[in-house]
Order: sequence, then C-alpha cells, then structure tokens
Amino acid sequence: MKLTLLINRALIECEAEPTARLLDVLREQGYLSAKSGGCVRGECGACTVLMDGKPVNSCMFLAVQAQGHFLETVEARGDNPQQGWKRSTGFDAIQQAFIESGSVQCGYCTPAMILAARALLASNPNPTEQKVREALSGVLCRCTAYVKPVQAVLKAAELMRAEPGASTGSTKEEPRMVDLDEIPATLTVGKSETKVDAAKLVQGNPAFTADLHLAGTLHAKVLRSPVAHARILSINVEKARALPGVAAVLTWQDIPRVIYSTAGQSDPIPGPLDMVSLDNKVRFVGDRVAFVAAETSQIAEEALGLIEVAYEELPAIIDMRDAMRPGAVQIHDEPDYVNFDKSDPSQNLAAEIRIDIGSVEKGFAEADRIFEQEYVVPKVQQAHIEPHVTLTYWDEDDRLVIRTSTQVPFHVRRQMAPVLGLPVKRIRVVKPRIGGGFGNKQEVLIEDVAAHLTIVTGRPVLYEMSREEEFIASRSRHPMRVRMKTGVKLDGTITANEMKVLSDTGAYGCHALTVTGNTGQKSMGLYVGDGEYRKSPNIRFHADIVYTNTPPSGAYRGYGVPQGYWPLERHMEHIARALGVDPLEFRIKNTLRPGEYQPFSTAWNEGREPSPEIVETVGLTECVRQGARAIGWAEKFGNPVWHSVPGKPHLRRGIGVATVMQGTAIPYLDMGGASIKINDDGSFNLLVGATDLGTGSDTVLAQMAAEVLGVGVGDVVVYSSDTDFTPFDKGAYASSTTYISGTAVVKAAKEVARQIRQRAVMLFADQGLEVEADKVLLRDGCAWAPDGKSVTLAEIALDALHHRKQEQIMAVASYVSPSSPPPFAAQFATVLVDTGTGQVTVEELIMAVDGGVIMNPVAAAGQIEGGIAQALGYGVCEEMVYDPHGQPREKDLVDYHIFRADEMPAIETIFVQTYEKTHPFGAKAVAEIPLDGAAPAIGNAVLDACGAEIFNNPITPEKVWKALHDINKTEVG
Amino acid sequence: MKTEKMSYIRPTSLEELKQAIANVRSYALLAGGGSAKPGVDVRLLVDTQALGLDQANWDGQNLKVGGLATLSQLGHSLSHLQDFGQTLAIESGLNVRNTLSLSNWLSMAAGRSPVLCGLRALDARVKMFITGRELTLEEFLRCQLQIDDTLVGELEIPATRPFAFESVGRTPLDLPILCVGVSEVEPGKYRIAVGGPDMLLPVLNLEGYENSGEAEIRRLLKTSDDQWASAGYRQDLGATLLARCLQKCIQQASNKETR
Ligand code: FES
Ligand code: FES
Repeated sequence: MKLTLLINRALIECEAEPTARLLDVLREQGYLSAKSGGCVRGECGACTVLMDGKPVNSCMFLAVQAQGHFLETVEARGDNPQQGWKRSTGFDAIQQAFIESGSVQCGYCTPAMILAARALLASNPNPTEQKVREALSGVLCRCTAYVKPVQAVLKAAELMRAEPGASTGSTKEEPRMVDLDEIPATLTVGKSETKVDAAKLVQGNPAFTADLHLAGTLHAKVLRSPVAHARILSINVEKARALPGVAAVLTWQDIPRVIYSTAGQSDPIPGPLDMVSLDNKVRFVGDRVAFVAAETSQIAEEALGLIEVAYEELPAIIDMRDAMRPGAVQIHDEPDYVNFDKSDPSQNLAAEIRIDIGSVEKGFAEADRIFEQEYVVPKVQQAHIEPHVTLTYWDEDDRLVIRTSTQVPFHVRRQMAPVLGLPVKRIRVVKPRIGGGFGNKQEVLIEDVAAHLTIVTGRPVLYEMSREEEFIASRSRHPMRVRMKTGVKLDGTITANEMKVLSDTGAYGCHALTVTGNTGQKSMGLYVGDGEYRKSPNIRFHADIVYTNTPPSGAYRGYGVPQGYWPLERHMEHIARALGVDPLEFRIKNTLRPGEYQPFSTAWNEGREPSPEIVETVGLTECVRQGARAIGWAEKFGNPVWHSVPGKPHLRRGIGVATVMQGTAIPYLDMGGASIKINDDGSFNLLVGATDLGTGSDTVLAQMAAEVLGVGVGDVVVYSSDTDFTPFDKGAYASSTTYISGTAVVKAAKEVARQIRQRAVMLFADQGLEVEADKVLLRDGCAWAPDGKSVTLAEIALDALHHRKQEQIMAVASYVSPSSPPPFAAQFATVLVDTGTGQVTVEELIMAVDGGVIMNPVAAAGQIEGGIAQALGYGVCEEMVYDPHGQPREKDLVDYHIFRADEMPAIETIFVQTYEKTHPFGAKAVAEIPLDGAAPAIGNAVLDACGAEIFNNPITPEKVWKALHDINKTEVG
Repeated sequence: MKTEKMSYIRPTSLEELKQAIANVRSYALLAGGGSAKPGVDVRLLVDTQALGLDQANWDGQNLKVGGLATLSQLGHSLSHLQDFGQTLAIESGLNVRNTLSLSNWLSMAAGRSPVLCGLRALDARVKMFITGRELTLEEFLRCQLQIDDTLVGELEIPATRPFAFESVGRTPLDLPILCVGVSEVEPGKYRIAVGGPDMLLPVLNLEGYENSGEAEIRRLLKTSDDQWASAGYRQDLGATLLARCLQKCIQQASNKETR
C-alpha cells in the first residue's frame, strides 16, 4: 500500500506492506540511524525515533500507524560543520555534548540516546540527573554505564539554556589522575582528545555492517536445533525450497565438510578443531541445522518452518560435573576431530591445564591454617547491542567480500578460506564500525553462513543474528566450578595457594584452553605471599575444561580472568577476616611488587612456550590507597554507625574491596601492523588492521601518530580495517591494541618523521640553511630548524609528491611484544542490603586503576565505567540458566537483565599512572581490568553488611536470604 | 506472513469499526500502540488510533483512562499514587511506556508484570470498546477474548484509595521475583495482589487491622516454585512485603485523616 510519512519535516511517500514495521520502512527510506539489530521486540531502544516529540521504539509500530504523526530521526539533527562550500549550522548542542564528553563508544545506541535527550530537553530545559536517567531509560547501552551520556545531556541542557556566546565551561569531565612515576610531557598523547569516530556516530551515519544496502541482497536465516543432543536422521527441505522467494536451502549434505575452530586466534589455533559449518549431529539447543536465503527475512523465516527434520535424540550432558563421569555420552565422536595438546574427546575433555609453581605441598605443610572452599561462577552473555551481522558478496573480480562486524578481520580471512574452498587471496574482509563485541566478535561465528549462501546463489547475502540467537547460539563466558585451598601463617602470610577448576566450554572447544589458562595466570599470579614465599611462591593451578550440551563458551571481555577473581577475592576476604587482619593490609602484604616475576610467566603462555617476565610497574598499593580514600574506607569499615540506617533496622550497609591484575597483549605471539602516508596538505592516512569496537582505539592510535609527527589528531585520518588495504593485525583482543598496535603505529610514524626531516633539510637548504636532520623538530604541523625557521608539512608534502625527487613519504611497521606488563586495580564497592528480603542495592563503585600512562583519560575512563557496569551485572543479576534438557531460561533482554540508566549506582574512576618502559609512551592496558573486581567487591561488601557468605555469583536476593537463614539457624543451633 | 489481500483502515467511530470487521472477523488485526505483530494471518488491518480512546478523565473517585492511552499516560494520571510510579518504572523503560497502549499491554500482561499487580490491587475494571462489555480486571484476565471484543475501550481505576507497592528483584528495576500491591478498599479492608511468578495468583482480601495476612499469603505462595525462585523464599518474601505494604497503607490513611 501507499504510505505517506512525515519524517524530519519532509513528506515521504513510499510503498509498504500494511504490516511492515516502521523501523523497516524508515531504513528502506534511508533513515539508517534507527538501528535494526538490537532486538526488534521493544527491549533495547536502538531503533528509537521521536513520534510527536516522544521517544518510541520504531520496531513496535507498524509504519501505517505512523501516518499523520511527526517523526524525527537523528538525521534531522545537526551536521558535521565541514560541508565544503555548503553552509552548515554544525552539530546541535546535544550532539556536540555527546562528542565532547566521550559519550560515544561503539555508537550503536548513540542516535537513540540523542533523540531521548532531545525529547527531554524540549519539555524540561533544566532537568535533574534523575530526570535525565529516566529519559534515557528506554535505551540500553552496554558500553558506557550511562555515566558520560548523562553528563552530556546535563551539559547540553546547560548549553541550551545559556545566553548565546556565554561561556559554559568544558563538556569533558576528566577522571582523577595520580602520577606514581614521572610522566614525560607530551602534546597529544595523554590528552582527552575528541574521538575520531564520534562525529559520524552522533549523526547516525551508515557506518555499521547492516547499513550497506546492495541491490539484490538475500536475507539469511538459520534453522536451529530444538534439542540438546541428537543425530539428524533426515532432513526434508523440498517444501522450503519450493516456497516462492526462497533462493537457497543448505543442509550438511550440501556443503563440504571442513573441520575448523570458530575461535579467532593466531595460527596455529591453540585449541581443538571440532566444528563444521553444518553437521549431521546437533550438540546444543540452538545448534545449526540448515541455512536459508530468501528475498526477505520474513520469507526466510517461513521457509525455516517448512524444513522437516527427524532427530535421534541422544543423552545430553547439561551439568559440567557429569561430563567426565564414566559412561558419559561422547559429545564429539566425529572421526575428523583434531586434538590440541591434551584434549581427549573420548572423555569430553576439550583441554587440560596443570601448572605447579614451587611446592604447594610444602607451603601447606608450613601453614598455620588452611582455608578451603568451592565457588561457582555462571555463564554470562556479552550482550553487545549490535548483534553479529555479516554481508557477503562477489565483487567485480569474483573475489568474495565479507563485510562483517568482527574484532578479527584477518583471522576471519585465514580461517574461512579452507571452510569456503577459497584461497586467502580471493577473500576480502571489510570491518566497518562495530556496535560492541566484548570478545563475542573475536569469534568467526557467522561469516560462513552468509558466505556459503553467496557461493550457492551468486548473490549478496545479509545475515543478522536475532537477539534470541545471540543468547542461544553465540558465545558466552565460561561457567566454572572453582575449588580454592590456601595456606596462611597467622600473621597473614600466604604460604601456598591452589585453584582447581572445572570449566564448561559447552558444545565446542573454542577458547577452551586459553580462557581457562588466563583464569589462573592473571588471578593466581597476583598473590605470591610475603617474605621468603614472595621469592619463591607456591602456586598450583589445575583445570579440566569439558564439553557439555550447552551453547559454546568463548571469549568475553576479561577472557577468563573475572572467573578467577570471584573465587580468589572472596576467598582472600574470608581469610583476612578469619585471621582478624585488615583486608587492605592483607592484600598489600601478599600481592606482587615491582621487580618480581609474574609467577605464571615462568610456567605457561597460552599453550605455547613460557617466557619468564619481570613485572616492572606495579601501582597496586597506590590504587588501594587512592580507592580507599575516595570511598571513605577509614570512616566506613568497621564503623557500626555507618553500617546501620536510622529507623530502618532491616537495612544494612556494607563496604568491600577486591584487588585485581590483568594482562596486556600476548607476548611473542600477537602482531599488529600500521601504515602511514603523507597527503598533499600535510595530513596523514593511518591504516591499521586493529579494530576499534568502541574502545576509542582508533583515536588513541591517531594520538600516538600525531604526537610523533607533530600534528593535531585531526590531521591523522584513521582507516580500520580492510584485509586488502590495511596491514595485518591480530585484531582487538587481549587488551593489546594500545600496546601492540600502538607500538607499531609509533614505529611507522617515526620512520615517516625521519623521511619528513630529511625532506625538511632539503627545503631549509633552499633557504641557505644547513640543518642536521635529527635536529629538526616536528611540531604544530611544521618542521622547525634549531634557529626557529620552519617549513610546513604541506610544503614538505608538495615537494615530495610533486616537485623534485618525487617519492611517497610513507612507512609500514609492525610489532610483536616480548613482554606483557599487567595493569592492576583496586575495586571498591558499597552496598545496601535489605535483610528482610535479601535484596542488594549497589550504591557506589570506585575503581583505582594502574594502566600505565593513560593515552586518553576521558576515553579510558569510559572503558572503565562500561566495564564496571558489565561486572556489576556479573555480580548481581546476569546468568544463563538451563533446564535439565538444555533449554535456556534467558532468550531476551528482559530475562537477561542488563542495567538501565535509571538504576545504575554511582561509578568513579581514578587513574594511578605508572610509566611502563616497554611502551613508547608508557602505556599498559585498561579495557579488560574493570571486568574483574566489581563482583567480588560487591560480594565482600554484602558479607560486610550482614554476614551473608555467598559463594556463587550472581548475588541474587534469594541467595542472600538463604545465607542469612543459614546464619540464623547456626546461631539458634 | 500472508499479506496478499490485506487491506487497511483507520476508522474514526465505533460504527465504522464494526462495519469494517463484520465480514473478516478473525482475519482482522486491531492495531493500537505498539502492535507490530508480523506473522499473523491478517486480511484487514484496523488502525484504532483515531477512535479517540486515549483520553484520561477523573470521575469522582475513579480514573477513567482510554484503552489506547499509553502506559506513560497512565503514569501521569496516577502520579499522586507514589508507589504506582514504581510499578511503571519496573515494568519497562520510557520508550516502551511511550509506545504501548493499555489495550495492547493488557493483551500481553502476565504474572510477572508489576503494573498488572498494581491495577489488580486497585481493583480496576475494564470496558470493552466494541461490545461495551464491562468486566472486572480479574474477569478480563481469565476470559478468552473474541476478535470483536479484543479492544479495551476504557480502564476504570478507583485511584483515590491508599495504595502501596513493594517489589524485590535482582536489581532495583529488574522484573520482580515477587511484588505485592495493596489498596485499602474501605477502612480496615485490604485488597492484595501478588505478582512475580509467571502464573496469575488469585487476589487476596483481608479484613481487620489485626490480621497480618501472613498465613494467607504464605498459603497463596505455597506452590509458587518456578525457574526464578523457590516457593519457600517467595512465602517469606510475601509475608515481609505484605507487612510493609500494609504499614504504608495505614500511614497513608492516617496522613489523610490528619489533613
Ligand atoms: S530494536 Fe526496537 S527496541 Fe530493540
Ligand atoms: S555506546 Fe551504547 S551500546 Fe555501545
């Protein structure tokens, strides 16, 4: 039918089915700022538009219903001020505030937030923070913890209220910085530069994978298993193939069987090869059964319902404790399974780790007391708001283009080549903007689906996972059962520390070994003991990683380490309290200090040769001091007045801490590359294979290049990434972009700077000036001679490109690190516990972080805040639960609750800067460490509040209630 | 979705609506706010927004709010009931509240809904638009609606009574593990709705200030085990939340008297 819609003050006439969603029609008409992949069921708000000035979810309206209403999208807001000859009013106040405040991380939710803010400020020009939070409550953000978006809206309100021309101060709120080491002065590095990608995202420009519309694109859907474990006896696809509009249906009988791993990792993959694109067996509810491509996604969906599958159900293993029991069903019995290291599919063992440092037996024998306890950590989901999405097509040279939302474009190309029967050279992987990944897009998860369908149909194919598929069929954090055993002297010295882990990799072994290895390496490596024990710590870490018939686990920001810190930091708290030692002192006494070996570096390296490494920068003690001061530890801890709430005897306050360590990159393995070339105007193109998934890494890399080249960040145009054009990079994982890719950028920039200096010497000579190249200073877009004379970089570029001895000033460099300097942090939490109901309200989360020198404080603080929010969910509400048949409880963003803007606790970040000499500007990593401490700190705060000992996170009200009952029973007994 | 012969109308009166659906009956979809429901075998799409069902008016003690008013509008109209705002905040974020009409929301609302718990405690009544049938909310929730009776015309809410609501979830605004809504129907007479479990639990009526209702609510929750909580926990929680709600109602009543 014909529709007339009033969009952004323009009447738009179009054709659409009466049941077409408003969201789909808007996107077809080119209003791509309304995002299509968040959930399409009213849960996330990524599809927000304003209808008659109110924010609504466009996925919940039929387009016909929108007729007669005034619709507004972000496309109607301001423009990038640089429009060539065309005059532009520039960004509006809200967009400007979002850009300047660092509110834009992945940017997938940003247009929705801006519209929600606009609706609020139109009716309430001077809102309170609570009103702002309520206004943003319909838009879920997984990146920012809403800290900076709330600041941005308040600031925009101030700007809009101000008289024209009045000064309102900076929109940026800088985090608190404390320097532990002397930090060399820099011009661009270390400054909170505006993100290089923010402008496009506040305008809702078509930056994401699904925003590219190619003529003739087919839509893919995947038929998924309804049972946890079965052989496929038969599949009848006749009816599905006969449905008008269906272009292809593929089953295991139609495509070659190539065994591979979906884990996006460097070659060789440190794990078993146990996956094929389509198999004659299903191993979890949600496993792949068939692929369909059709003219519309509705037709593809209908076709799925026409596929008839006969299953022979097999016994299923849902509880990881059953996996290795004698007689357990074998989940991987395929003959082409490829072992890695100690994997043994006959025992459902995907990987095994045995690390013994020193002698724990001796340590236990020397201990005055031994503490033992089992802890359990749940399976949780990354819940990035943009789902996995891939568009594949043949280009004009018959090369397969895979445009995909991935953290690892080069691994996608390498790992997909054999699966698709194509040489690497005939595949081009393009990574556009990523709407969040958090490790889940370190998986080569769906590229094969679209690619197989493009191969069979010859047409472009778009496959966008639904929210339900994200929950039932993507990857998640490994759930684990962890047994701690620790020996201590009465003075609080740890004599031996042991962690034994049973880890559940689910149906496939992607990241099984490496994630669980990190669990031990980065948590157990922190506590070395004191005195003699410090010199020779006694640490044991043993792990069995087993297959079950649940969705595969994989990489999730923190990469195994949060699973280590829940048991470790809960256990340490328990020990400190049992010994009557101050929890802060106990931690400071036993944790790693500068100049000591990371104990695990002598014994383990992600399945490769260990490379012993001394940790030079450890700011942990200062982090504890700063965090304790900020949260008021001295006034609160042990203070009965603070713990109680006057007039409300059922409410108790508590305070807790956790100290944590992460890693920075994988030594001697992961490589990053960068290429830089100069342009005619003295600007530069920086091409990197590194992938910015909202972390701000493109900006930080530009800052480093700009610092070396003596220009502003605006003169460095970053492009990331395309396997045809950008140098190889392992991708965004293991907290390595700033450290590894950043060093590659600096190396390339230094080479370009050398070439510029030489050219400057020639130009100075033209002026009769003799200057040595290494005396030329690059600054403010010019090359400066010692006497103060200068030539601009534009003059240098023109000379090099056009005038004489022409050459392209450019360089390519790469970097592999011999070291992995760990960042450290102290996480503090305060909570309010309702002892009548068990409800825990987290009031405040403060993290003091030693991430080396911080390259961009506002962007880094955004990383910490967003990470803490995810860790908060891990602490109190996030988990994925399965019934005995493997049916999932969580399939949407209602049951899997992530925090909304109007319920977040206060969050604060403090940076303790150390200077890490192995990085050109002293940096370590910050992206993953905020995931580690919040859950145990909250657990410790709950214990402090009411004595409830919770060993299994998340800390749900029922667990607190039960723990309090157990205490009461013990007291009565 | 089968849409080959689908047509669309936006009627402006009841008569027009009746006429339109007379021949298509179960193949008609009455679409109000927030009703993108692809997948239904629909031949006539009836857009109900021009029927004027989005008004809210006070009629003495009762709020009468049209079935196509949104949850946000309901919230504004009941802003004097402090605890009712909490039910809405927990129910969903602002966008959904701006999007969903009461009629559509009621067609989906289930045991876990805090707003439903609140409205049941307040003893709301429902008037169907097409047939003019009047039902209690309880009757509405139990009955199988026919196509010519799916559109809620009006919700009548006795909203001047003392009202209290308490909820426990994993986070401040997570859907409740258990929630309790209480309204004081007459002095010393309380109407209690309990939400949280998937299934709809019967409403309790309590008489007399001396009755804590603990035994009744424990009985009600005896078999409330589900994937989110054990019955034992819910029983304890129910008793605690009910006591708190009753306390609040008594306080509100006494504040009213003082005024
Ligand atoms: S896509 Fe519309 S609310 Fe999620
Ligand atoms: S910035 Fe909000 S979801 Fe990524």
